[in-house]
Amino acid sequence: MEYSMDQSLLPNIFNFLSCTDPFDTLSTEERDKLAGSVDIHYLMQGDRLEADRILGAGLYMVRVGAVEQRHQDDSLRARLGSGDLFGHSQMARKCECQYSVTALENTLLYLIPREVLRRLMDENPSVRDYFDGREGKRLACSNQREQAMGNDAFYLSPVGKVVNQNVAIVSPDTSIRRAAGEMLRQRRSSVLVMEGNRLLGVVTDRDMTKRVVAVGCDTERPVSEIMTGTPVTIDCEAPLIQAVELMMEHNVRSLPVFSEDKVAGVMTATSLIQRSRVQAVYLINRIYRKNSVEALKELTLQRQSVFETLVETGIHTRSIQQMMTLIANAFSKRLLQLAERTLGEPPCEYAWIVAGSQARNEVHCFSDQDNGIVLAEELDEKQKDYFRRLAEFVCYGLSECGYKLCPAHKMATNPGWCVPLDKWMDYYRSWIVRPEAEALLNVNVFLDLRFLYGCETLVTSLQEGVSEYTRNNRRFLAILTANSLRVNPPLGMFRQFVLAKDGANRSVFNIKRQALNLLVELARIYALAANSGEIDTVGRLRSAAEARIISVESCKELLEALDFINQVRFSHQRTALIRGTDANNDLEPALLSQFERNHLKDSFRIIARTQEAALQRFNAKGVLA
Amino acid sequence: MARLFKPCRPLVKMEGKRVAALEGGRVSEELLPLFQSPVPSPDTPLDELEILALDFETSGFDPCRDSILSAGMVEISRRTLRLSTSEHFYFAAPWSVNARAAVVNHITPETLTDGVSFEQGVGRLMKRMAGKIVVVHGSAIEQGFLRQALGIPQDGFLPVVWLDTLMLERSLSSNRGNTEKDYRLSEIRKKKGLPAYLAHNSLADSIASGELFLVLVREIFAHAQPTLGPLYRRSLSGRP
Repeated sequence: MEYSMDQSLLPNIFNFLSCTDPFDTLSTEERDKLAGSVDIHYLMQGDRLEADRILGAGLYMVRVGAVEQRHQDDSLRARLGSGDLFGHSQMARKCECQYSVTALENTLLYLIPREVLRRLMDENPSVRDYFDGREGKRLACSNQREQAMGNDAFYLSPVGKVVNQNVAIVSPDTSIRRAAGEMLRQRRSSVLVMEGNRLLGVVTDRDMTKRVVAVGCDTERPVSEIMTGTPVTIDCEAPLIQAVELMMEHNVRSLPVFSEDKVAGVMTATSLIQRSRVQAVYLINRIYRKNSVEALKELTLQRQSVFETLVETGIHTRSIQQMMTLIANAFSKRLLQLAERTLGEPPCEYAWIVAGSQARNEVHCFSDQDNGIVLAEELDEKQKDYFRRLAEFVCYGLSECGYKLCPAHKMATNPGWCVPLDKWMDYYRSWIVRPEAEALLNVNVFLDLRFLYGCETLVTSLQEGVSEYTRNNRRFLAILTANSLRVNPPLGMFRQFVLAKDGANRSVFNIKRQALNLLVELARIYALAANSGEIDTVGRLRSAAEARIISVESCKELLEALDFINQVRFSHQRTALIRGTDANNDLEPALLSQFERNHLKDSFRIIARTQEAALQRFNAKGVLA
Repeated sequence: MARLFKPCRPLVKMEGKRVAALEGGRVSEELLPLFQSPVPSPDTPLDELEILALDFETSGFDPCRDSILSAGMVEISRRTLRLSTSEHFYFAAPWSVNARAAVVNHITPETLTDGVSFEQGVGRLMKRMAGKIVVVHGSAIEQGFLRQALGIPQDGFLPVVWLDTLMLERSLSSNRGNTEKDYRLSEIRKKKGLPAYLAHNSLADSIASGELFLVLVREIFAHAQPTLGPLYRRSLSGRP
């Protein structure tokens, strides 16, 4: 018989459970059975729930009213309103209750007794994970959404997984005719020219047409004469979409794939791009075909729709950020190509660097730009003028395409951020050796540094220099930690309010400033402590766990918190996009679902706990006045 | 003369009558379960008592003409309502359902055919009530229909302590000088900030009055230890 709510003799309790996470996932029969096991308890305003009613009792649900939890030292733990849960963390404890519960208003409580909850947990993995007692575990189960395994996800799988491992390889002195024969034999459209393990160049079938047949070249001549030298390559761990991006950027049709130092195959354009209907791939393809800022600007809406689709399909937030970063990179690089085309050859070698979220591969739809230029040498005024115009072309171009100008002016258009390598080195030295307030702002942005375009070795030397300054620099870590800990996550949410640590109720909270940034900063500090060169937050946390700076468990729960916070953030950005409003990072608890509120609260706790641990570990107390 | 110095103690009197009835051999075999436990003394702490919140759905208001359609009940102990102790059953008596009651209660002859027989139902009620204080909202209906079901006169003696949430609320209201009031269960609950109950079934109603009872106990005793005596006095008189 189909079971419906109408048949429940306890419709009130049944309905309440039906909209209370995680019981809304139970079947109607299970929910009705659960309703029949509830204990109901009443507290008048000011009443305290005695410890023996909490210890080992089970799970309490606030039906109506509100209660306040306080730690044993009387500091506020949380305020809970209708629909909020408590007590499960004390379920297995016997001696001492970790908090007290006092009614702020007349309150009706439902209790699911311990034995009933245990049985439910045994029978339902989703309920079990939810009440595991650890916030991280709870978040982990919330994140087990269906990951889209469509085309979008395909483009995020590593190149190594899909690349054809058959490779045509010849030595540089091989004749063109024999090289062509090798391509036929291996059924490949290109051949790698190698000397031992070193890749010298690539010859494609198109090269054979263009450079051999069309010009009547002698096919007995060595293949090295017609090859494309120092070809662009890709690591087998890189996502497919990056291969697409590289092909577009450099206008090549094949990419040798390397696994460490060995050739693992060749990616070809045909299969990857032309037939793709994936928006992001299509968009990147289009970006590199546009020849003016005006034309690029037309793609802005497409970029938004890529973001909307990715959020909608429930792709992992990490992957969304990767896609959005690749798109931002493509816009930047294409603008740089166009700038060079317009302005002519640059007067010296340079590297275009990105900082902040773009460096961390954490771009989203509303990211602004942080960038700079590393010059290979000291320049005169006329030469400087070239880079001023280049920077303006690119930064204002990016702004036209929807990447807002950095409000703090951390951009290549700022003469201070368009300087020779040794000047950059001086900056970092002063930031790291004398980290004053201003320096801390800069260092937080520029410690996340990635090469994007131009001469990569400039950036490599810069990064190496910086890591010398930061290596085993305990004082610097203490200062970074103390600076980050000036901001705390909210304690939780209470009805339509955000509950601050001092007990104050605020109407909004800033998900970037009060949650996400804190995670990013902690990851940065931990990675520095591990002397790791990782730039993205996930990589940093993993490297910190590998170096045993943080536990694997802690790493895991921080990653879960990161993903969940980004999920909430992205879904609200998507809503803003659809409404056509400007997305800011201020969230109103009243507009969040109960599910989001509960899990954000878990995320906040994880951050707060990690902040506390960092404070101890890096002796950050009292470092900053 | 003696009455002037002796306070009116209905619970003590009820216990005296119970003992006398038992000793006099005036209790029938069927009624025995209700007579076996002593009536608690007025100073018994509420937390030491077993309480049963009870509700009947009936086909009308006249115990002689109408009948009980269903019964719902749930136990309260240590000021906690335990839904695991809840019970609900229909009385199998399809001929007694009239159209009006069916509309109000959503009980139709079909649902009643699944019910227990009259004797079974009364037996279960006795078993659940034995040794417990009974909480109802507007106890006249339940008292009247129970007496009728047990085959004793409407003014006959039963050693059952009824606590009436309607009277308890009235005892608080007259405190505040407000006599013109809506004493329906749903209205009082609304006033107390308790959640609205959606359904009209005797189990949901027994829980609804049980919850209201928890609230009233806290309001009546504030921070003092709740005892039975004052509650029973208020329940009888509707006054503080």
